[in-house]
Amino acid sequence: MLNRRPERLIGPIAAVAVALVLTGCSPNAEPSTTSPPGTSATEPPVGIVLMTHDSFEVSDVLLESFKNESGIEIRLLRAGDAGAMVNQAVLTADNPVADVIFGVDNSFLSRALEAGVFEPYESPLLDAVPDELEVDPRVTPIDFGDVCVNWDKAHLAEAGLPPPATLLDLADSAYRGLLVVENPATSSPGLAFLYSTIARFGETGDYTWIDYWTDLRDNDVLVTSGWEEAYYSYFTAASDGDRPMVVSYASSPPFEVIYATEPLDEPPSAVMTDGCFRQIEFAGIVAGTEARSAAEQVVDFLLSTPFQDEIPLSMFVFPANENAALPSAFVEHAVVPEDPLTLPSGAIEENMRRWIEEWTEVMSG
Amino acid sequence: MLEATKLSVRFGEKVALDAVDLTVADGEILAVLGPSGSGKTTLLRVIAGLQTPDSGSLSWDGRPLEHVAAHERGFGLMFQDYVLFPHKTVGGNVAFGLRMVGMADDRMAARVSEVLDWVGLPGYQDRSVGNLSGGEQQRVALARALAPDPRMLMLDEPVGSLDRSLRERLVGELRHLFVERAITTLYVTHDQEEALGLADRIVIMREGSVAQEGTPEQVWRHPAGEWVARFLGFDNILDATVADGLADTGFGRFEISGDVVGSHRLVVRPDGFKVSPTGTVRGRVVTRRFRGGHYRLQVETGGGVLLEMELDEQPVPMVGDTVTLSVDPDAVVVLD
Amino acid sequence: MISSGALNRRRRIGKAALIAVPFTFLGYFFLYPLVSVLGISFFPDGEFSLSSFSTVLSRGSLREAIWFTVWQAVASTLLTLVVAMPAAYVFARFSFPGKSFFRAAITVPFVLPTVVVGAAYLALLGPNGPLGIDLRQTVWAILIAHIFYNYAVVVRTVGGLWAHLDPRLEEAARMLGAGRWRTFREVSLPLLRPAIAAASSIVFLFTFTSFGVVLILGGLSYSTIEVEIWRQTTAFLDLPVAGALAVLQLVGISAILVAYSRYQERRSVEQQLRPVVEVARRPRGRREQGLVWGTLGFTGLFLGTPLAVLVGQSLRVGGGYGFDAYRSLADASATLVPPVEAIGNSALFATTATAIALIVGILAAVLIAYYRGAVSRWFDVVLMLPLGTSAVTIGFGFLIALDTPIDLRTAPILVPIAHSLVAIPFVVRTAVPVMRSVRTRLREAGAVLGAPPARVWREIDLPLVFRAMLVGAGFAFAISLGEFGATSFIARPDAPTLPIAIFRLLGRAGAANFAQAMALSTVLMVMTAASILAIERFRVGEMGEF
Repeated sequence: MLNRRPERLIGPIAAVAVALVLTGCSPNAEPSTTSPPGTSATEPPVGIVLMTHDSFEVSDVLLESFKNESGIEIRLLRAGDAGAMVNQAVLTADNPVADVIFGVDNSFLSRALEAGVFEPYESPLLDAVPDELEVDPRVTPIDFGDVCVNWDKAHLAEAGLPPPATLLDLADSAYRGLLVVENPATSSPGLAFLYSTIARFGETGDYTWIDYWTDLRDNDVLVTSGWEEAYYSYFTAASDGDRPMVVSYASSPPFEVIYATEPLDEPPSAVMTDGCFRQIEFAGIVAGTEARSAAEQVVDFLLSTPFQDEIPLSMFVFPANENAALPSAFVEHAVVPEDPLTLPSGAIEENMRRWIEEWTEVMSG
Repeated sequence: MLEATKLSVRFGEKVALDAVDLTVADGEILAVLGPSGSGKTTLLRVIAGLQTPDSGSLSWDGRPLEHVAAHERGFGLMFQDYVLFPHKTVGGNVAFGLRMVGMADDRMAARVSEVLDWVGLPGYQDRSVGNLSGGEQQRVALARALAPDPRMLMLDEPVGSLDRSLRERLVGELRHLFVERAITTLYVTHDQEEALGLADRIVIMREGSVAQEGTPEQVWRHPAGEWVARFLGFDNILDATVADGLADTGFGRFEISGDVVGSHRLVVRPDGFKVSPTGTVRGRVVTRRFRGGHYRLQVETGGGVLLEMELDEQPVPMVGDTVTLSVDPDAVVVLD
Repeated sequence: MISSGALNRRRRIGKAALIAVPFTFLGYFFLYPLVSVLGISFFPDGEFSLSSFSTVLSRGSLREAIWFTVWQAVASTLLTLVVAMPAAYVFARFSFPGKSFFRAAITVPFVLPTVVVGAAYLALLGPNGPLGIDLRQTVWAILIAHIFYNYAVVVRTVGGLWAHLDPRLEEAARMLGAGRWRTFREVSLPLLRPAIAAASSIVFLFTFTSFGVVLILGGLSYSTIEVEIWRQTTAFLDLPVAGALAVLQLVGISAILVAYSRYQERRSVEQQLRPVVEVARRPRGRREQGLVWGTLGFTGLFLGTPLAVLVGQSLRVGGGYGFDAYRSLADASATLVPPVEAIGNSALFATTATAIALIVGILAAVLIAYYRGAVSRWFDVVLMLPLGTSAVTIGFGFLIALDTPIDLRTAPILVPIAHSLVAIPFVVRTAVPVMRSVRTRLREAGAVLGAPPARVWREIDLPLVFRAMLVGAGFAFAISLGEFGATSFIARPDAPTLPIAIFRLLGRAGAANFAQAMALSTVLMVMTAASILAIERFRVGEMGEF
C-alpha cells in the first residue's frame, strides 16, 4: 500500500551520473586524451601523447614554445614509476595509448623491445650523443645517470674513517653497520646497485657477487624498500639516521646544494666513484602510431638542447646530448664516474628474476 | 460515516482480523477495546490504509475506499508512540499535513497556533521535539493529527505510555475536545476505564473478532460472556442454580433480577455487596486493602470460593473477621 | 484492495533502474577490469590452467607472504581492539571539553597515505626515538603502525554502540555482585559483540591488504600478499602469478565479508529493541578522572606524535625552524610544477570522486537497505571488495579492459573513479544503517497526513538520511585526498595529486625537497582533518560504522 521505494528519484540521479562519466570532469583544460592519438600531421595543432613516468619533469614554457614552433601539442600521460610504465606499455602494445614513450631505462629496455613496443627511428641529433649510450636502433638515449654509493663527509671524518674507495671497502669491517642499500626487488637504484655488483664480481669464479653480498650482509648492511627511506630516514647527511653511506645517485650532492634550506658552499655528502652502475633513459616511437612524423619531431625535441639543458635540474641526471649546457652546481659538485659498470640489456631481462631471488635468499639467510 | 464489512487479515497462519464489521457514525466517539493481540491495531491500520485486508470492504459515506491510498483518505492517525518527525520542530510537525494540502503560509501559521492552543501547548512552535516530555509529545502528536481537520480521527493507545494521573486527566480533556468540535473519532485502547470514560460506543475485540458492542453502560451492565466479564475486571464469576428469582450458589442464596431458571454462570460486580446482618452469604475476610474512596476485600466463603468486593461503609471488617453479606440484585449479571 | 498490474509494473521498472546504476558502474569499472586481469592467471597461455596457482604455492617466499598476511592481520586486529577499547569506553561514557574535535582528530590517521606516515614512524621507532629501542624492520613496527591507522575504527564503531547501551545494565550487574572486570566480560562485552565484529572485519580487511606500512617498515623479512602482487607485477610483469595472488587475496577477503554479512543478518533481529540512551557525563572522582585523562593522554601521544614529527620536519630550516618550506610551495623552481597546483588538482579529483561515490553509493544503499534478499546481500559484499583489491590490479585492469566500447584507458575521469571505488563502501556503510533506522511508521505518519510516496521520501527519508550522506561525502572526500596506490597505477594526464606530488618531492635529494614534501604532507593532513571535522558537525548519533 505505502510505496516506500524512492524509485522516482532514480531518473534524475542516473542522468547526472551518466553525464558525469561521459563528460569526464577533466582536471586540466586539455581536450580529452581518449581520442585516437595523432590524426593528421598537416593540420595544427597535432596532439602527441607522450607516456612517461612520475619523475619526468618539463617546464610549461618549453612545451609551449615547442607547440608554437612545430604545431605539435604534447600531452603527458603519467603511468607510475619506470617499471610500472614499461609494463603498461607492454600490456597495451597491441592497442597503444601513446605515440612516444620516454623513460625506459636499460633495466627494462629488453622487455619493452621484446614486446614490440617501439619502431626504429634514427634522430639526426644522435650525432651529438656518445656512442656508448646508443644500444638499440629502436630507442633513442635521452639522458643517463649513475647509481653510486654516497657518503657523509662530516660523519666519516668524525669517526676517523677514510672515505670508502671501492665496492670491496664496503665489506670491510671498518665500515661495519654504516651502509644502507635499497631492496632490488622494490627499488630502482637498489636494482642498479645489485647489477653493478654482478657486473663487477660475476657469477662464476672464486669470489662471485653472491660471496660479496654474503660479506655485506655479515658486515651488517641495512636494506630498505625504497630510496626515500634509505636517504631520508637512515642516511646521516639527510636525516637523523645512523647510516653514513647510502646507495644513491652521482648527482645527489649537487642537489644538496641546489635544494638546501640554507645556502651551502659544499654538499655534505660525496660520491664513491667505484662500482657505479650507469642507467640510461631512452625514448622511443610507439609501434603503430598514426602520427609518425610528429612523433619523430617529439623525439628530436627531447634530444634538442633546450630540453637537454633542463634535464639536470628537472630530473637530476645528465643530458645525453653533449652540446647541452650543465648548470654550475653540476659542473662543480656532480661526479661522472669514468668507468661505470653496465650489463647487457638482454642478460638483465633473462636473469633479473633469478638474481633478485638469489639475492633475497642470501640476505634473508 | 465509516462502514467496514467482513474485514479479514491474516499474517501467515495467524488470523489478525476475522470478518469484522464496524461502523462509525458522524460525530461519534467509538472506542475499540481489547487486550493486546486482539487485532485492534490491525483494524486501525486497515482503516487508515496502511494495511491491505485479505478480504472485506470498507467505505466512507457509501463510497468504497479500496483504491484510495492512505494519504488520500483524509483520516488522521495518532500513533501509539507518537512517531513525531525527529528532524522537524513542533510547528513543523503540526504543519506537515497542512503543507500536504498546499495551505498558504499565513493561514497555516494561524492554524498551527490554533491547534496548539487546543492541546494546551501555546507558543511551542519552535521547540525541538527531542526535548519534550511524554505528555507534551502526546499533545504534539494529537495536534499534528488534528491540524488538517481530518474527516475522522483515529488514535492508537494515545495515552498508553503516560502515568496514571496524567492519563485520567487527558482522557477527560480529549472527550471534551472531541465532543466540542464534533470530531468523528475512532479510539483504540486496552484500558476499559479509558474506553468507558471517553466513548459514546464501545466495540470489544477478542482474537480478531468483535466480542461485544454497545454503549459504555450496556457493556458495563451486561458483559456478553465470561471472557468479556473477566476482561472488564469482574472476577466474581459463579456457578448457580436459579429458580424463582433466587440464585443458589452452594455457599448462599440471593435474589437476582430477570426471569431465568436452571444452571447458569453469574457475575456479581464488586460494588454489589453490602455487610448486612440479614445477608445470606457468609465468609471470612482474607485480605483488606484501602483504595482511596473504598476498601477492596477478598472474602472466602464456605465453599472455598473467593469473592472480590468493594466496601465503603464504616466500619469495614478486619482480616479474619467473619462477615454476613447481602447481594444487590442489580449487580448480578447472568452470563448464559 | 489489490494493487493494479500497472503499479506493479512501474515498481519493477523503478527497481530495475535502481539496480542498474550501481551494478553497471561496479560491473564496468571494477568487476570487468578485475576479471580481465585475473583471467590472465587462469589462462596464462590462452588455455585454461591452474599452473600459476601451483607456482604460488610451491614458491617458499610466496607461501611465507601468505602466512604472514594472515597472522599479522589477526594479530593487528586483536591488538587494535585491545589498545583502542579504553578510548572507545571513554568516548562512549564520558563528556569532556573538546570531545568532538578529539573524535575528529583520531580519524585523521585513518586516511593519511602511508608514504607520509612511514617517514615519521621510521624516525620514531629508530634508536633515537622516544622508545629508545630500534624497532625498525621488525614486526612490531608493522603492528604499531597498523594500530595507529585503525585506532579510530574501533573507537568509533565500538564506542558508537557502547554509547547506546543502557548503563543501568552494567549497574544491575554490579548490584548483583559482579566486579568491574566481570561486568565488562559478562554484560558489556557480549552486548558489544556486533560492533566488535564490525570493527574487527574492517580492521582485518585493511591490515590483510596492508601495503605501504609493510613495505616501508617491514624491511626484507616481511611481505604481504598485497606487496607480492605489486612486486610480481611491476618488477617482473608476471601477471599470471600476480593474478593468482590477487585471487587468493580476494578469496580471503570475501570469506571475511561473507561471514560478517551473515553475522549481521542474524543480529539485526536481536538488536532492534535496544534502547538508545544518552549516557555521556563528566568524569567524577579521582578514579574516573584518571581513566578519562589517562586514556586521552595516551591517545593523544600515540596518534599525535607521528603527526607532530611530520609537522616538525616541515618546519626545519638548516639547524633552525621556519616557514620557508610552506612559502616555497607556491613558486616553482626552474622547471617543477609548483606543488600548490597539486592541492587544486587533489581538491578537484576529490570533489568529482565524492560526487560519483555519493550517486552510486546512495543508490546502492537504497538497494541494500530497502530490498532485503540474496541479491542485495551479495551486492553488499561485492561493494566492499575494492577495499580488498590491490591498487595495481585495479590500475592494470583499467588498462587491459577499458578500451571498449569507448577507449577510456587514459581518460582523466579514471582517477576519481578509482578513488570512488574505495570511497563507495564508506558511503554505503554510513547510509544503510540510517536508512534502515528510518522507521516504517514515520513514513506511515507522513502518508496518513496526506503525503504521497515521493513526497514522503523527500520530506522524511531524505532529511534524515541527508546527514548520513554528508558524513559519507566527507569520508569519500578525505579518502580521495589521501589515495595514492591506485592513482599511481593509472595512466593519467599530467595532474599530480597531493600524495603523488609528495612522493615526487621525496624522490629527490636535497633538504628543501624533503621539507617541502613534509609541508605538503601537513597540508594534506590539515585538509583531511578539516573534512573529517566537517563530518562531525553532521553526524547523527553514531549510526554509521566508521
